[in-house]
Amino acid sequence: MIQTVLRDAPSVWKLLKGVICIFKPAGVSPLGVRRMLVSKLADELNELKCREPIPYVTIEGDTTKNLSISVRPSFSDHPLVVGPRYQAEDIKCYPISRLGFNTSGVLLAGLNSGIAEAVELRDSLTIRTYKIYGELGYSTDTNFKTGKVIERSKYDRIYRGMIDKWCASIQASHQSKMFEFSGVNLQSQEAYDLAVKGLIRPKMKEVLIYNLKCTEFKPPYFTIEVQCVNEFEEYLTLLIHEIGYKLHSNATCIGIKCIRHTLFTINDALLLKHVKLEHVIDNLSNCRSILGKYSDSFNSPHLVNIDRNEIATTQQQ
Amino acid sequence: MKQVQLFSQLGYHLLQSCKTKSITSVNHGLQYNFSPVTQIFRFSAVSSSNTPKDIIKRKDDVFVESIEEPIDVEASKKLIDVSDYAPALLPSYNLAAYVDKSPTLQEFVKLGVKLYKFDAKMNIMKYILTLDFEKDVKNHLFFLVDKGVPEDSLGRFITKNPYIFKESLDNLQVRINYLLSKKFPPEEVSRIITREPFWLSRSTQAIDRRLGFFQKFFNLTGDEVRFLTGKRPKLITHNLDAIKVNTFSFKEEMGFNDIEVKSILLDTPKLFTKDRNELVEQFDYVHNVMKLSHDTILKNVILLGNRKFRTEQRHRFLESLGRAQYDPKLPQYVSPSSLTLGDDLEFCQNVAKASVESFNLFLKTL
Repeated sequence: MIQTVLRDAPSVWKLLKGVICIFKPAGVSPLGVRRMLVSKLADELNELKCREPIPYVTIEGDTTKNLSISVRPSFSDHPLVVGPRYQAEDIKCYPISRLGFNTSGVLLAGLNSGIAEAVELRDSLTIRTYKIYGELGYSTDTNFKTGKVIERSKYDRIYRGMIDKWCASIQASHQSKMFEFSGVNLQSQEAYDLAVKGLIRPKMKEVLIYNLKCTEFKPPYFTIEVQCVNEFEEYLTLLIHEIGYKLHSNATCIGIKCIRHTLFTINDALLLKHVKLEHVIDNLSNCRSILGKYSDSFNSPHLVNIDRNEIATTQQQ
Repeated sequence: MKQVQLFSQLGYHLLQSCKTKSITSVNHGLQYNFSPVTQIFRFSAVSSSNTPKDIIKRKDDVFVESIEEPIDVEASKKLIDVSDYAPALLPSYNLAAYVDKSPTLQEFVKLGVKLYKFDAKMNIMKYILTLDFEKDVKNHLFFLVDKGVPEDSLGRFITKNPYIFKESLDNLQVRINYLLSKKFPPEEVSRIITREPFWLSRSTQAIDRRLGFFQKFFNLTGDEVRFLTGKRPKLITHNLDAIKVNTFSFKEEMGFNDIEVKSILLDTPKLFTKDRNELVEQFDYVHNVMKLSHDTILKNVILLGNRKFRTEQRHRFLESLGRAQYDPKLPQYVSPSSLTLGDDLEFCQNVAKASVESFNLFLKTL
C-alpha cells in the first residue's frame, strides 16, 4: 500500500470525488447530514496550505518621467477579502437514498464528480435492508413512537408464530406483485424467461418487498428485517402498524435502521464524528473498490447474489 | 437597478477618499470631463485585442483620426502627464473590487478584519468605504489598545462591530468612565470591551438600564452584577425578551425556584442565551430518562448546556455497560457532568473504562 502525505489543499481536493458511505444518525435529515459533511470538509480544506493570492502589478510615478513598476500580492484575492478559499457551497454532495428523519443507518452519497456514478446507482434500484423495531400494545397518530397515542390494547396472547405468519403473507403478496411491476405481459414467453431466472427488479417506482421476517420477539418488543426497493419511512412504519392491526392488537414503530444498501454494510459506514479528510478519502477509495468490481451487476434486470466474503478478500488485495 | 445605483455611489465615496490620499497608480482618480488624450486611451483599451497594425489601418478608428488632426507640433512633442487620468471604478457587489485602490481597506486587511463578512451588508459597505484611516480609524485603534484590547483581537473586534468608528472618542471615554465609576476594576473593563465589541456602541443610559434590569429581575447584589457582567458581557447586551422567555422556561417548565434560577445564572449564564426548545428538550432527557433530580442537575448545570444527542449517546453506552449510576452514595458512581466534558477518548478511558473502538461500534447500533 502506497502512503503519501498531502499538505496542500488543491491536491486533496482532486481526491474528493466518488461515492461515500456515511452512517446517518436518527433525528437528522439526509440534507442535514450533507450540510454537516460539506461544512466540515470545507473547514478542513481551509486549514491546509491553500493557493496564494494572485500578483498585482502597480505602475507608479510621474508619467513625464520614468515610471516605477512593482509587483505585490493582490489584496483583492486575499482570503480575508474574498472569503476562505473553499466554501461549503463549492462541495457538491448528493445523498441517493431517501432515509427519513427518524431512520439511522447506511447513507450513500455522491461527492463532487462522483454524483453521476451515485445517480446511476440510485436508478438501478438497488436493494436496501432495514431493521424495524416495533412495540405492541399501542398505536399513535403518526405510527411512530413520538406521535400522540390514540389506541391501546392487550398483547399477552400474541406469540411469535402469529407475526411470522403475517410476515410470510405480506412477502407472498409482494412476490406476486413483482411480475406485474416487471413491465412485460404476464402471458408471454418473455415473462416466463424472466421468471425462470429468479427475482427481478421492478420497472416502476412502486414499493416492492423481497424478504420480510421477524428476527426477534420479546413481548412487547419485536424486530422485523425487511429487504426492499423504492421504500420510504412512512411505508415502513405503516408496515409495523399493519402487522399490529392484523394481529387484532396495536403495534407502533420505535426505530428504523438501514443496515445494508447494496453491498455497503454498516461496517463500511463513516460516523459523522469521523468526518476528517483522511477518513473520507479512505472511505471513498473503499467504496470505489467495492463498486468497481460489481457495478455491472447493478444494471441487470435480475438480482445477483454476491458473496460478501469475496468483497472482503478483494479489499485486502 | 437600485443596487447598481447604490454601488456606483460606493465607488464615488471611495474615490473621494483616494483623492485625499493621493496614491499614485495608473487607475488614480475619477475625471468626469475626459480630455482627447484619455479618449484615445479609452478607445485603444477597448480594441486591445487587435494588433497595433490593425488599429492604424482602420480609417474610422478614433486613434487614427486624432493623429491625423492638425495639431500643434511643438505641443505634441512634449510628454503629457496622464497620471491624473483614469477610467472610473465600476460598480461592484463586494469590497474586493476596491481593496487594491483603497489604503484604508488595506490597513483593515493587515489588522485581520474579515472584509468578506460585510459583503452581504449594504449599510456597512457604504459606511466603511467613506472611512479614512488616518482621520477616522487610527485614533480609535490607539484608544482601544490603551484600554486593554489585545492588538491581535482588533481584527475580530472590527469584524463584529465596524460601527465603532462612528462614536466619538469622548463618548467612548464616557462609557469607560461609567464602568469605572460602577467599581469595575480596569482589567475587568478591558475584558468586557474585548469580549463584547458592541458594548462601547451602546449609550451609558442603555447600559445602565440593562444592568438595572438584571439586578431587579434576578434580585442580584452589586457584586453579583459585576461578577455576571465580567463573566459574560454578551448577556447584558443580549435581547432581554429572550432572557425573560428562558427564565420563564426555567421556572415554569422545568420547575426551578427563584433562588435556583439565580444560581444557574451565576454559574452558567450562557444557558440564558440558548434556544429555549433545545434547553427544554435537554432537560426533559436528563430529568425524565436519566432520572436526575433537580438538586443533582443544579450541581451539574453544565449538563443542561450540552447537546441532546451527545448526552444520549454517552448515557446509553454507559447503560449498555451497566455503569449508568449517578447516585454518589452507591458504588461505581459516575459524575453526570462527565457526560459533557472531554472528547470521546477521554470519556471512554476515564468514565466508561472501555475502548474507543467499542464505543464507535456501539454508536452504529443506535
